[in-house]
Amino acid sequence: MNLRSVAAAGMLACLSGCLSFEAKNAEDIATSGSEYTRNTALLIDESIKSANHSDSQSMLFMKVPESMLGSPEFSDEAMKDRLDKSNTGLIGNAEKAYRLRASLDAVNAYFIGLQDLVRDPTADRNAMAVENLATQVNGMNRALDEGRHGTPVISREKKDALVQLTRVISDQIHSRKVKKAVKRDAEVIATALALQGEILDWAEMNIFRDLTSMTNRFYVEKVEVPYAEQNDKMNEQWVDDRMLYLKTRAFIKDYETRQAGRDQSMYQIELWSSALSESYDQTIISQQIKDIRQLIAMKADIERAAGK
Amino acid sequence: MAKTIAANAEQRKLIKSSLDNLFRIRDELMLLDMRNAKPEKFAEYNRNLYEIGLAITAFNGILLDSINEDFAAELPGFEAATKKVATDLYALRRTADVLNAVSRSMATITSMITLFK
Repeated sequence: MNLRSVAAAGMLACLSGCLSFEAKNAEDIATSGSEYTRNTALLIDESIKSANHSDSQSMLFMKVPESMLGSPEFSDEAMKDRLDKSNTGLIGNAEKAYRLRASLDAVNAYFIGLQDLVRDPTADRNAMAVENLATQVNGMNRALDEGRHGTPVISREKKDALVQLTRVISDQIHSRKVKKAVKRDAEVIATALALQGEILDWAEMNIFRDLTSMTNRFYVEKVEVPYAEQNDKMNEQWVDDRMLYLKTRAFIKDYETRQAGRDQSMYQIELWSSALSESYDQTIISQQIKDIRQLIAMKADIERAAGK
Repeated sequence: MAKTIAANAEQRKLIKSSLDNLFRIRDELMLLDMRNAKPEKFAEYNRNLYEIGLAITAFNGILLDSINEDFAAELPGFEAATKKVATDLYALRRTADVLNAVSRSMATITSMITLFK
């Protein structure tokens, strides 16, 4: 290999390296953007479930003693009206949440489109097309030449060089297109992410408060009352329940502290601008989702123990 | 970011804070031991807990409406961005499509030349 070939190969390797770094950044943005959007949509459902659950839990606390049921305030009719009113509000919110999910689908469609753009095998496809074309040129030349000279018009070396050059140029064009798209759409996507941040805050509040109300009810029913009455529920299960209560209460306190310390506002995080400056860190947006998943897991533990 | 969204976000912050307070009050109420409460005390407790539940639902509804409204205003922008990305992808694929079409034509011509020799 001569010096020129070595230099050219080095330059090609460097160019490919730089380009793949940019593509990696854009791919991270597209992948985590899509993941974030899908997770937010799932947490909307969980939030609605939590809102309905904590509302129903509170109704158990206000269960009217039999002796009071005859009064006009707690008559059959009045109680049915109360339940209807509560149901109407909760159903209305569930419908609003479905609308939000539909909007998130539109945002996800963008990220999937961006993913397709980033992952498009432009260089391979163009390189193959050029190679085919070179083969066809040689084939046609051979046919016209009637085999007089026997050597192809585009030599193997030339063909390889052409293919490699096509690959590099295509990579450059692809990379530029991706970068341009990310910059061009920055504002609209930053808005989508900021609104999603708000949805997450809202979902987190409902899920967290459902956990606290479940824990309160669990404590009263499974720990406090058996202890106060020293009844037969004071057994080994009571020990486990008390331990779970103490663990959950500590978790709730810790969560509240962490939540207060966390920078909630997606506007301040300026996600997209960090992406554009190529210092994109997907852990920023995934942390809140991880925290909420922890809440859901804790809720499941309490739910299981309450059912025993 | 649109000014209206930022303004709405500020309002939502206030609503969220009120909502959080309502949740806290409900949590406190749920920790009260009302087993031996007098009927009028229990009735008051019952009423308060019920009204707080309705208020929580109403605040949740206001928040959802507000976020939905902002999303709806931005939806054409999201859709336009998605279309542009699709156009970019189409443009990238076009180069290879043209080259492949030329290759196919050349292959046909080569076959014809061979045939008429």
